[in-house]
Amino acid sequence: MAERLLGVETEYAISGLQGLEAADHRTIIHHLLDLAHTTLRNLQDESPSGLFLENAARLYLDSGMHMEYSTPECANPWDAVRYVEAGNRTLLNLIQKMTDERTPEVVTSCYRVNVDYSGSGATWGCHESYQHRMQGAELPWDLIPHLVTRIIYTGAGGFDPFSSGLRFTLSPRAAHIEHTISSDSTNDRGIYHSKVEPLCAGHNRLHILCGESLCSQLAMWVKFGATCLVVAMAEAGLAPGSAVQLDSPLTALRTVAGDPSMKRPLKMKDPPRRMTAVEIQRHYLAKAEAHCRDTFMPLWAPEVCVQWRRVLDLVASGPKASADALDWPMKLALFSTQAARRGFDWSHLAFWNAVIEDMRREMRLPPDGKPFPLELALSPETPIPALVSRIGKLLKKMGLDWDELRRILLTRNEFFEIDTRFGQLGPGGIFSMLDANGVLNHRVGGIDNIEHAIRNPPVKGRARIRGAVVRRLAGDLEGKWSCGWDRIVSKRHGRLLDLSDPFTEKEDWHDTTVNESQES
Amino acid sequence: MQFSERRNDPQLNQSSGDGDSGTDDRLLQARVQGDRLLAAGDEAIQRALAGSNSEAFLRAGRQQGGQ
Repeated sequence: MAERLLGVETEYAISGLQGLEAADHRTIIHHLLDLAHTTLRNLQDESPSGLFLENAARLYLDSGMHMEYSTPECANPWDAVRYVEAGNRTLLNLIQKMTDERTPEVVTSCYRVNVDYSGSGATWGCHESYQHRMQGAELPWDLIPHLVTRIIYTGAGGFDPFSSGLRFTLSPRAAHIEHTISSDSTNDRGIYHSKVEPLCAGHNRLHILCGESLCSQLAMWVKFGATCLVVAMAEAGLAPGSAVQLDSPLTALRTVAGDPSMKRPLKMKDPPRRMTAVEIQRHYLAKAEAHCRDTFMPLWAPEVCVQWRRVLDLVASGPKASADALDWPMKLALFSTQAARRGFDWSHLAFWNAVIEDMRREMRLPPDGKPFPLELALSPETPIPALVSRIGKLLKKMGLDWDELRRILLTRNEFFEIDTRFGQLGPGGIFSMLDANGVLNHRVGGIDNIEHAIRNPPVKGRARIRGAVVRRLAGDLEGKWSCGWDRIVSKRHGRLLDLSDPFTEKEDWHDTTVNESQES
Repeated sequence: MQFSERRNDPQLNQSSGDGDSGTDDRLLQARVQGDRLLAAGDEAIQRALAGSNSEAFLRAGRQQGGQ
């Protein structure tokens, strides 16, 4: 059976509060990085603000001044989830240490959240990498229908950050995807990221940036497992996506993200017809099931197919059926309860969002997510009197009144905070509290021993070597070692460890002084 | 409970007829589980929001650009 490596990068949101005032973000990040350097066994990254850890993961400061953790290369979805969880605990441990030893006056928290609701228009990414050997241009078209429709189980849930109302979405990240294919990662993002950066020799790396940080182990596990199988089928020449090409992938992404019923049909091409997201996922699954024991598939493919099918059966039964297992249905259930507590009917939201959208357009306000100025719109000086009058008559017919919309807009930030605090690391996070309460059903058997994964690399491939060498050399400050994904170098000692083969099982050291003297 | 051990899920094990006592039991169980989740969720939300000012909270976590 074929082996395939995968990895996950998680960008963490970090906030510090002193009373109602935001603590200095740079100071917090400086402390965290310093503590990481001084308390974790590590080798310096090749960049100035990152390091590789003894479990072969990378922890670093990314653009936008946030902490990012990349798992080591993993050989199966169990390890991928295990090392994501190890990253969560590493960050949490650092924050607790910082609070205890350096900033006791600041309440610092760390979140697995995907979009910034403060109006910055920014996002925190969660990227996946899958190893493959394809060279051609077919991979995007095999992958895109899968990436668009998998959000029915991989969506983090939350709100559209560009809506002036309170628009629930299966995938808040989807609002930040503007193209079908793009090589950009900070602007103009695509469903398919075409960046070429293998970070090894002899293989390519599929880098997916339309995914999201999740809390449910099940959602993560099936996301990694199913996507691995789609990549394997594409690489084997089965063209798993050829029969389910979307007419407009971007439109389809918006449709799926905005449809908790998961029943809205998507426009297909070749031939023109309609299919739901669940049907498209079942198409991929059927193909994977038919080939799950083929030699190009990983050993664990049959188990992925079993769980993939169960998850699709579950989501096809409606959001309530998976409210204890997957992120977005869980959030949908919690938000509905909170809406009732705040005096509005969750089922009215779609209507009110449409009302706000009409009024926003009429007032020529940009779709930037800023709260809609309802009181101005309803005042005697309203710039849109005819529209307000028309809507007023409609409300009367429907037995609704403007007060419900006022309540929605007043509590909007509270809902954004709930979404953010859902993924807060540690016992104060909403997901963590539910998990501790025993009301969730998200765990996957075999994802255990997280504490071990914090200090130890996976047992296979170059990650095992990297972790062992980091542990061995971490104390050698004289050596001025620097570490990358594909090498470890000491200019001082003239030594280079070649890790360009991702499946290497031995330490392949080279003397760089020989080459340097030859070149000079 | 592990997901792989999920049993008695009414949505996954649809019964063919009305009045099936097994189905009734499963529906009842699902409703009880659903109610437990919502109650626990409500409690968790109120604990998470206690003493918080949402506007200040969101401002403190403002992101400056990510991927």
